[in-house]
Amino acid sequence: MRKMLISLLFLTALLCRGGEGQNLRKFQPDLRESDIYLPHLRRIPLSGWWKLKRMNSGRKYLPLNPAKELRFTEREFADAGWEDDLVPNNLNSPFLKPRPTASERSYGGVTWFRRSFQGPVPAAGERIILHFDEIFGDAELFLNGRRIGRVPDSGMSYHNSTEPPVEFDVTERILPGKSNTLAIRLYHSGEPVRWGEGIPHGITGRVCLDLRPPVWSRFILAATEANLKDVVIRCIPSASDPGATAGWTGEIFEWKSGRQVASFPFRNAEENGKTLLIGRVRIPSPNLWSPESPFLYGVRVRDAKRNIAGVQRFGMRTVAIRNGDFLLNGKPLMLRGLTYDSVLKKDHGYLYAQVMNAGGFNRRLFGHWKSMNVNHLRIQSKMLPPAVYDTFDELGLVITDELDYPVRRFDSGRADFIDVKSFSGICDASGKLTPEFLRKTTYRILSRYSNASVCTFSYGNEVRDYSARVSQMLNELYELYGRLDHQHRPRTSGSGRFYSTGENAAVLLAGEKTDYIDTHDYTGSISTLPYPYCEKVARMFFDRIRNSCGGTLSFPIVNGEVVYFAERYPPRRMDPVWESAESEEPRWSNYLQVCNEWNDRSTKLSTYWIRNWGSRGYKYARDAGRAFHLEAILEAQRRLWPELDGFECLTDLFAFPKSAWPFDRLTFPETASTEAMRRICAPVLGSLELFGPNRFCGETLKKRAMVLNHSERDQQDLRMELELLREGRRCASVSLRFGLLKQGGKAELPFELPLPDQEGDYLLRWIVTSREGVRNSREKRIRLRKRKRLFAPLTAEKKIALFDHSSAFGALKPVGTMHLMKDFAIPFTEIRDIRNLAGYDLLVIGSGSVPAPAVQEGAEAIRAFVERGGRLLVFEQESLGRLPFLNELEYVFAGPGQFAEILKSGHPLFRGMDQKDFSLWNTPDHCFYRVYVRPLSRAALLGGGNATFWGANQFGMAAAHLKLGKGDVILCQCEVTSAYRSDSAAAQFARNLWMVALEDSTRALAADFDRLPLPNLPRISLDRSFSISLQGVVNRGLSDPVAGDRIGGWTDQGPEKDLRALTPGRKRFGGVPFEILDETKNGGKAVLAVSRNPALSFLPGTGGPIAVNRNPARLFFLHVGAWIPEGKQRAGSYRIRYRSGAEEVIPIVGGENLADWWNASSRKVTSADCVWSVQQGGHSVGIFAFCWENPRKEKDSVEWIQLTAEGNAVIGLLAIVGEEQQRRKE
Amino acid sequence: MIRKKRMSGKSGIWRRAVGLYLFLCPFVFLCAADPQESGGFRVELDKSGKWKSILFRDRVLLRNFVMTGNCIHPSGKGFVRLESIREKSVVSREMRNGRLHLVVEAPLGSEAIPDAAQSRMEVEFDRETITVSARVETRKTLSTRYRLFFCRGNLEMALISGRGMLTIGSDGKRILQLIPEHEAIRKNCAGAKLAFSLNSEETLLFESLSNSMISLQDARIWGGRVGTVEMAHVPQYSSTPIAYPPGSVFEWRFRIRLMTRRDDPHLRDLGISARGKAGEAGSEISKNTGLFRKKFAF
Repeated sequence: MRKMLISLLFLTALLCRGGEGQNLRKFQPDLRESDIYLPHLRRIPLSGWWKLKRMNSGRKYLPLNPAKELRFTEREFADAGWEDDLVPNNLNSPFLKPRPTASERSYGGVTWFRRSFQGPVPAAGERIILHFDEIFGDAELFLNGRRIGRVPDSGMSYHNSTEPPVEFDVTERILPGKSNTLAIRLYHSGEPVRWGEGIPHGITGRVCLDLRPPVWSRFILAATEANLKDVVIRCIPSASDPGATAGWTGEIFEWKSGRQVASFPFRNAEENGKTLLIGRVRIPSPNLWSPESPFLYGVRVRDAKRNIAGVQRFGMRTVAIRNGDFLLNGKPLMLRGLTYDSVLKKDHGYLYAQVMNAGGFNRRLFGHWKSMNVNHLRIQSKMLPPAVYDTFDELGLVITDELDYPVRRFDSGRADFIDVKSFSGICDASGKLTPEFLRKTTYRILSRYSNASVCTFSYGNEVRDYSARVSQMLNELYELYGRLDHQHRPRTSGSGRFYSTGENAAVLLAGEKTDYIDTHDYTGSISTLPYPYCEKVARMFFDRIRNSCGGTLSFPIVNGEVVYFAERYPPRRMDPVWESAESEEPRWSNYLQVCNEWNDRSTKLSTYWIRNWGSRGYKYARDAGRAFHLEAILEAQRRLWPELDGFECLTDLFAFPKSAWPFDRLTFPETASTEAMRRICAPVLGSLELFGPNRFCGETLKKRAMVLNHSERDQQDLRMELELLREGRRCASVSLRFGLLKQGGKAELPFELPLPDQEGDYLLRWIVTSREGVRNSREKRIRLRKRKRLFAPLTAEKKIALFDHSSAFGALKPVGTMHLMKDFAIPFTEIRDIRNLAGYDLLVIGSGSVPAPAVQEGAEAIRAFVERGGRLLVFEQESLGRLPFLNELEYVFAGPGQFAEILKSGHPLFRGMDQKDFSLWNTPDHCFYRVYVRPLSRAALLGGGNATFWGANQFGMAAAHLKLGKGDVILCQCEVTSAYRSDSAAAQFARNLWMVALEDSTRALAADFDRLPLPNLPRISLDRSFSISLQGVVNRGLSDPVAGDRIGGWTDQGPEKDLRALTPGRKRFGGVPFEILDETKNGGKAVLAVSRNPALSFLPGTGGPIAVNRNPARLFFLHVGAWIPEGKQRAGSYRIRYRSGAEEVIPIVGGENLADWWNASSRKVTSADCVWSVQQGGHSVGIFAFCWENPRKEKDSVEWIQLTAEGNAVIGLLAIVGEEQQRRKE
Repeated sequence: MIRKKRMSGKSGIWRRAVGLYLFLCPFVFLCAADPQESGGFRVELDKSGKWKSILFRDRVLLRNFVMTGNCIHPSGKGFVRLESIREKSVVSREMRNGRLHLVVEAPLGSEAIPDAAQSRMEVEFDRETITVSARVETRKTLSTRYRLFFCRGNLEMALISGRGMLTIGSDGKRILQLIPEHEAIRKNCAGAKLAFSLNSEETLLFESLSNSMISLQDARIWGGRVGTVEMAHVPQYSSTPIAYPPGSVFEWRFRIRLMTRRDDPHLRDLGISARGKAGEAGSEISKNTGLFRKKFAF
């Protein structure tokens, strides 16, 4: 029975799939949608259903087998048994198989295509041209059994869109009025296969037959004059003989209605050494093209016999730059845009849909974006199919057309390899463009010349090669575009070529020609800093540009990539982390595995989600998180107008349906992100100064409100109504009158909004209206708490000792923990000496007090106090390194954090609070922790993320409650002390902290915690230990003031990456008394550094010998390594020479007795310990110690030791300590 | 009106230096018009216009304040330090709106690259601030991977060790930290603003006004006793040396301010307020509950 059921189900599934195929087979292509010129030209489309045969050649090229294959080219050949597929399409995604198998998805090999058609009958003198927009692969073409030509493989493995179309004159080969057969043999390996999918290949563009007069116009170039009335039409004919184009004329007509509005004669001219026709015509009362009114005209070119020699659509518009702003038709323009990367080729039906505009696909997709008030797209490193540009023209999208370069293959799946571009074939060693690239680029410029939407140009995405060669190449491109583009459209040397810090601005501006500046600033998402820093980072960039331009911002500036909250979600990793959206705690093992261990590529591209939105939010509320950040980050971009002239958002706004079929019913979803986009890209925007939502009842919210007019008209009677709502009921309101705001204007007014006395959640809504009606409506949550309740005195029967070192900060820290305690009326005794804690129940260490000498000196006493049953509450610290009293944990610099995730919502620390309270506090930068505690463990109450370097994927505890002996420790890294008076969530959190600390029953909630590896070296007998001097052999310093000078430092990487933090003298590391040399007294040398890395040729490969002349039982080595290979590979060795001449070699193996110094404390080593680490820049660095048992301790004495490096590793020896043998009892 | 004097001859130099010093002392006190204040900045100059020391109320804050430079040796190997050439320096002074403006012009050079650049520092003195506008124009091709010119002074670490320090980056990033009493600061401190708590009331602030970056290197790491404060033009990082041709101009401005009260209004610019937001909350509570009555008494 069970078997029968399964079979039935299987059959049903098969039938369903078959049914789906049948359904798809019924598709009748409407080729009229694919080409706007079809009604105007004698053109016969040949796209649609074709026959295919895959030759199953694996990925290999098989030479043509004439005996077997040539019959495929014949008209009579019966191809009924061949596969059906649409052309254009991608061979890896057959249209009739919506769910291709793995092998189909990565298909590569020889494929035959066949298509029969009725041969057209040409008029006298007409030529018949077979035209392919794009063939991707190596193709041989046959018409009616005769070979007509070959299309070689472009050799590119990724972008190929700059390839000009392929055309064959088949006038002599075609059979007019009869059936003709076109056969194509195409080969492509399908490689590289990436994530199971081969690259799209096949006949990937439109196919048609054109019937053209003997001389026709190859390009028609329309350029609007600055007076916005005249248009100059340039026509490049197919023949250069001026006699052939004598008497040619042009007609201008409204594209939609067809109404002719002007006509003009052409005259022959010569430009750039080419013969062409030029006509100038004035259009009476022209309708200009703009995003809000994308009006289009057409120009029809007729030869002397009135035959149509070409048709071109265009728009009347100018694009220019004045005083550092973009001007469209002379009016200021802010680009509110998206980055468009047409990755749609892979999924079912999308390639056909987009290339052929099937079912109005392009209007559906780009119209959806346009409906979100987007007015701009940057086409990222692509040239899209012609139908797409035509749709942009119709929708009124301002397009940045960006060049692409060959990417031969992906070196790895890592995101940071995307900018590996090859410039071979593009330019020579001096940067001069190759003739071939010049030809292709010229074609690209001319073919898209008249598209009204193409308004700016970019010479590539993230061209991060800053060599003189590439600078020269970019300058040549600038000249080329300048020569060819009579519209003088602005061009940038590249999107993202300027660092978002502006650090390379002066160099680039001095050496490269550009009209505008494009940077990629991801502040607030995948980048290092949270979103309250968006404006600050951008202003820093502006300042640096300004300083590089003599004090003025003479360039428009575009943030060409902003907001990255991708849909990418790894379900296998993330799904198990939370059982449900309401769970009090995560599944700790899964959570810790994700946050502490999972460091592969996916993590790097998704952990910013956890840092900014939490692991729970990442799983359950991605769309809401994306919408929240999108609105916050783009609001900052809008506010930066007019210094910032545009942005291009990179985030996914919605997930594309799996298939584009059925084309005419395809819709794209409305999501929270699309709604947010619509609000924040509104042409007229209302914006409030950034403020934290946690306020106090009864206070007055004093902020500034801003309105921006990026519409295409002046706005009259502009107002902003602010209202505070609770459950839909208005509690307070303010009305602001801005009056007239001109196009491109920005106005700001202060406002004061009294906040009600009742606690709870409110909604602040602000609506911008003008004479045109409501222009923008937005909201923000506000949470109110009563000061009286928050600061009601707490009763405490405990004996509390406070150590507070805040006074050391003077005016820099006006409020200390002592103030905090007094404000809650908590009795305490202030102590200066922590060594005697007898009689106290609770020890409080104030904010910023851990580095105080008293804490360092009293560390053991503090630990003993807790282990005996005392309680310890430690407020926020900004010092770094191991906690003196809890050496198993370390304070790590996390950068400013505006979000922390609640990991134990049931803990009383969160009484009366929820996740919303741990975001955007009222601090100077709206961030509330900067240093967290590592390692992240089950003791965590609040999880925080690292924001110190791009793509940071490390996590720690912003608050923790941990068990230690009989006592417990509460570590709070949230800036409660500095924020509790200004932020009601901070005040509530402070109150909760005290309530937890003062209530004994909460002790049970403390959890065990994970420990950083503590020195695990064998115990050394101090009596028998002796130091082996490195005095004469050390060759480098610990500190390195200048990078790359080959003088100082053990790796010569400069002050940011040196070991200066390791202070000299006798130090106990892992209980072993190592002697660190003082470089100030030793000629600047304190470490023996060796390497065979060719880039560090100034370091010796071998160092020593280090004289020993003792007979130790064990040796303890203290060393440090850089570029240490992982996976138990050898990095070097210590060679031990005995007096007898015998030798021993101690291999230095990565992961065994040494690991890289970068993030040393997190690295796993099997037979050594990271005995010292310190935070440096965004990372911690550390050194290792290991012990070696002397196998000849009974027989021989050690004469010397030599250190040798292998591979690229750098090994630095800092100290060696020996231990004598234990003397036998007499 | 600017009065320029070219120093020449040993005795003349000393006479003029002493004269300038004597001139500045009463002036700065004159500027300190507030009768509640006991004085303000005072500066000791040597013959070349080099600031031997900057004092505030007779306490030395900075020593050896100079304009200097650093570039790659023309041979491509090693570095060249470009020092002010004292013999050729010109110091002039001017009163504007009752404030002293001091202009120090000096060529910068070294044995390897003599007459490498011409520098000009325009310094405006106020009671609690010193504002410096620096300008250097290169006369030779100079190469660097980082930055070429900077003003530098030595800060006695004893003044700030064991005290708090606030760093605010060019991007607004804030780091508040305690300066170790005996060990050197472990982190490289650089940003748009560096503020040092000198005692419970006074805060010394170095801040960029335009195109500059302030940094502190704690020389205790090398066994020294001072910290070097560097006020440089914003560096341009490059993996390969950038060659600046003759005529390249570098301009930057910065300010040194000593805030003498905990409620100094300029502390607000650092995002700090003794009252400010905390006061708002505090005053409300004191009104409602009396809890904050003694809020600033401790």
